[in-house]
Amino acid sequence: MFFLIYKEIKYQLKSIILYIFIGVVALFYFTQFFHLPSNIDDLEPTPPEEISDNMYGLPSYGVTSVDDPMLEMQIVYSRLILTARIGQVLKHGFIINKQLNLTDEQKDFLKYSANKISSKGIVEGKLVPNVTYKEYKEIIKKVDEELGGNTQFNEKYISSYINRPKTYEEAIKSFEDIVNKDKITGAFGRIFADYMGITAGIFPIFLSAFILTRDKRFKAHEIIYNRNISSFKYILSKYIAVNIIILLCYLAFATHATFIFSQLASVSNYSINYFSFYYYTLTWVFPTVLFVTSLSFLLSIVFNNGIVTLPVFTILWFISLMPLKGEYGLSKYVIRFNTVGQYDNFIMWQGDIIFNRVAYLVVSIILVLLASLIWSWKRGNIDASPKNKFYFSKI
Amino acid sequence: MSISILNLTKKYGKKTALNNINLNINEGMFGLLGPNGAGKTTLMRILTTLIKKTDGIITINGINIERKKDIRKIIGYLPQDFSFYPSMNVYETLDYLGVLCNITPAPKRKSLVIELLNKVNLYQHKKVKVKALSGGMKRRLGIAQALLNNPQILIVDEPTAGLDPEERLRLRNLLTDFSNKRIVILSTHIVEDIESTCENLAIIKEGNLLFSGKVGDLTEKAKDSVWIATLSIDSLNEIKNKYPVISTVSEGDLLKTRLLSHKKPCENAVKINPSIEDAYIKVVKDGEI
Ligand SMILES: Nc1ncnc2c1ncn2[C@@H]1O[C@H](COP(=O)(O)OP(=O)(O)OP(=O)(O)O)[C@@H](O)[C@H]1O
Ligand SMILES: [Mg+2]
Repeated sequence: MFFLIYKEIKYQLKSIILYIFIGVVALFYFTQFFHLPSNIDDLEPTPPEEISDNMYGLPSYGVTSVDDPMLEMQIVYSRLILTARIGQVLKHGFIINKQLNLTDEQKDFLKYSANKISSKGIVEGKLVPNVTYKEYKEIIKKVDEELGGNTQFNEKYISSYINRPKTYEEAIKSFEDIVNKDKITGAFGRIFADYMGITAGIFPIFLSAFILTRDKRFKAHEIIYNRNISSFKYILSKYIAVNIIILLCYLAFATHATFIFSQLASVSNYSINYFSFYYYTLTWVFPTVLFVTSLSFLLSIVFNNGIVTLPVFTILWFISLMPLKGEYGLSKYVIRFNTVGQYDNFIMWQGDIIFNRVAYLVVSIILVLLASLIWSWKRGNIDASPKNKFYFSKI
Repeated sequence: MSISILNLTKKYGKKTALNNINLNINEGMFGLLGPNGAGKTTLMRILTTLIKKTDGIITINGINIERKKDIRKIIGYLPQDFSFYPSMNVYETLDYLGVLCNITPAPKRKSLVIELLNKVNLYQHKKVKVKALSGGMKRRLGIAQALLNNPQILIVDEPTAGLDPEERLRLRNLLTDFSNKRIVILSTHIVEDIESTCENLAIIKEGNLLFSGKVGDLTEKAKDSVWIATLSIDSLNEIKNKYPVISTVSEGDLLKTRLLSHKKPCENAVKINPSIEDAYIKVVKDGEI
């Protein structure tokens, strides 16, 4: 078993695909994650009296989402008016979002709906509503339907722009949480795992999906399949090998990040948690990798073809990538946490996240077992192919 | 040591590749002869657990073929057309396949691999990558890998195809040596391969077993059927329509023609003792009717 693991690792190390994979992960790491403060103190919010120049009126301390029905109605009301005037609406697509042009009827419907919510509009900075929050919800649901669904007025997306500016005190609290509760690297470890998780959600298939089809591709199957080795041992050693490689790759980036942060922290005398990057890599990213490689093993065996995993994972991946944080149901095999800090939110979601990760771990093990079962059948039926119409009835 | 095949049928979808085959194979070299598409490879793949039979019963040394794990322990197989991971060299290939045969520990495997490399004359090429091997070297590697588990049953599919005469001879000798106290099944469509090595053989064609028995029985079958006649080109064309012609050799303006017939085909024809090739052709031709 160790021999086979070693051989597979050696094989992968010689493969150009591995280096392309590392390159892509590096690209995500450096372009997405690696916007670091040059100094930890830079993260500390500047007191309001020291902010000299805020001519654009932008929130000085970022924004925070709120649960305020009145505010929500007000913001959505303004959006309705604005959208009717511009004549375009943002439609969330499966892969990319699009601006759609509105017809005159749709524009009228938007104005009509806005008018239904409030006939007086915003008076002295406050909306004067005609309807209750519940009625407003109904109205806005109809608007989304009228515009074709999945628009910015869809319930799913509204919450993302119901924000208010953070106060200085809140900003200070966020900063202190990062320093004290998260020991800095915890806060950055989560966003690190977020970006690495995006890559782990799809790119490992290029390493794993062709391992089991390789034997046939190189016409080696007739001297491999009829050997004495157990199917489980064969599949498992390949599985372990490819996961070791991928894990080492992510651990290397985690090590780099830890090193950079230990330097940053030592400059300003903060203490960091040296294990955070590793912790989030192992508990968030690695289960994703295990799932991706196991499912790609299974699919590539069933279809005698590695490339079929690509469309499958493309779909699963896009389902998993949104929203950027806060949803950890079982349809998400990638853990998103696209923010620095928010320790309290993290703690709130942690139960869901752990459940999700354990579930994917279990699923991965089941998939590997299933893959070995099917491989075991295949090695005794090399004449079966998906093109053969009897194929599926034989399984 | 024996292989028993009872009412074996194999269908690929609607196509019948083997049709109700009954065959007993005992110790020694066994030749499996048949033209292209006869079903030789199909039979060998069934025996090596690579494909499933559609019907019938097969036992190898008393072990039912369905018990794949036990069968895999005792068979070695050289496929007709095979290769390996191109980046691996000869030594690594055997080492790797040795692990798949559960040959441990490593030192034991190493000495076995070296022994096999010497046996097939590849030791000096042990560092050559699989992708760089010549046809003959690849075939020798194929033999070596088939012997890794010291199989009681060795199955080789057209091992001599594409080899030069010298290499061919060496291969036959190697197989003959190995067949002592073992079963070696060799498939071919070249009669010469069988002639010099096999005591027993079977002939299949389009999935049907046409003959099985000793080489002597085969020639016996063709005893009164092979003739030689010296013919002009015109009479040859005439004869060709009536009788199967095995070979022609030109002698001046005339052609010395070897042909099959139950009775004397023409005036100057002389009956001769059939060779195995003659007998093979006769059996295959008769199988057409
Ligand atoms: N996987 C397959 N699917 C469908 N038909 C097949 C398959 N493999 C073989 N056949 C058919 O079964 C028949 C027997 O093929 P097989 O390869 O066993 O012949 P063979 O005696 O080995 O021929 P050759 O001397 O050309 O190697 C052929 O008609 C072939 O087309
Ligand atoms: Mg063949």
